[in-house]
Amino acid sequence: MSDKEQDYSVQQASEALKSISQSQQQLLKRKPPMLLTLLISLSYAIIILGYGMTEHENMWALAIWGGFAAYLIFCFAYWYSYRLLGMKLSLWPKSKHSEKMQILTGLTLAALLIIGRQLRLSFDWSYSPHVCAALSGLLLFYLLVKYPTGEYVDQGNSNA
Amino acid sequence: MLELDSVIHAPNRLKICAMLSAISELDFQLLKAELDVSDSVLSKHIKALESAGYLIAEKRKTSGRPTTWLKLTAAGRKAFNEHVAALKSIVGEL
Repeated sequence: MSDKEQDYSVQQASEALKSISQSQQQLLKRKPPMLLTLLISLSYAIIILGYGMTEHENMWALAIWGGFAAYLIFCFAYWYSYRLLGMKLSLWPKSKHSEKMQILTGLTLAALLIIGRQLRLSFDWSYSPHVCAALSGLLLFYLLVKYPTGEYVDQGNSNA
Repeated sequence: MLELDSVIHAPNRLKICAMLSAISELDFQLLKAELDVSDSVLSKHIKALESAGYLIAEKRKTSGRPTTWLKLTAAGRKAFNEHVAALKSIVGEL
């Protein structure tokens, strides 16, 4: 292969990678309203806060169930909005990259759930559930904005 | 040595695989609108990907209207990932 052909191949490959990234980004611009993403994150944060603050049968226990019910409803609305747009989301991601991302997210959210409550009970840090709930909500919101379908999409080639 | 996949290599088929890799299933009509091609052109590309075992097209009713849902098979997803890896190795990203 001559240098000229090799250069052309590199250019073609670069354009192909750019085309892949652009197609995915263009498709992912079609997504449910941002308000729904915000409501999912908020309802999840309420669950974390409720769990961190609950004492037997106080009002925070009700917040857990209220938050959980709202979370399920908003998640269903999110899934159904995508379906109306002509896209179907799967419960479990299809690629290895996405699986790793989901598992890591699940572990982080679980850790925040436990840490928030334990810091309050063991060290009497009364605001730890609030901090952990805010962090969980922000993390979920960020991930839903960045990877709205739950699938990992490489976003580094758009300028390749 | 990573090799480019001749089935996926065509520009429109590459875009189809790219979009399907970012989601579980896509509506035929949405894909048509995204690619800005006719029904027949898209059908031809889908047929080629189906023949290679990379894609499944299923006709189902969605909210009372017939819809063709498209999804990548495990082999299709693997082939697409390998194709992307081959492209990256040419560019020098791998």
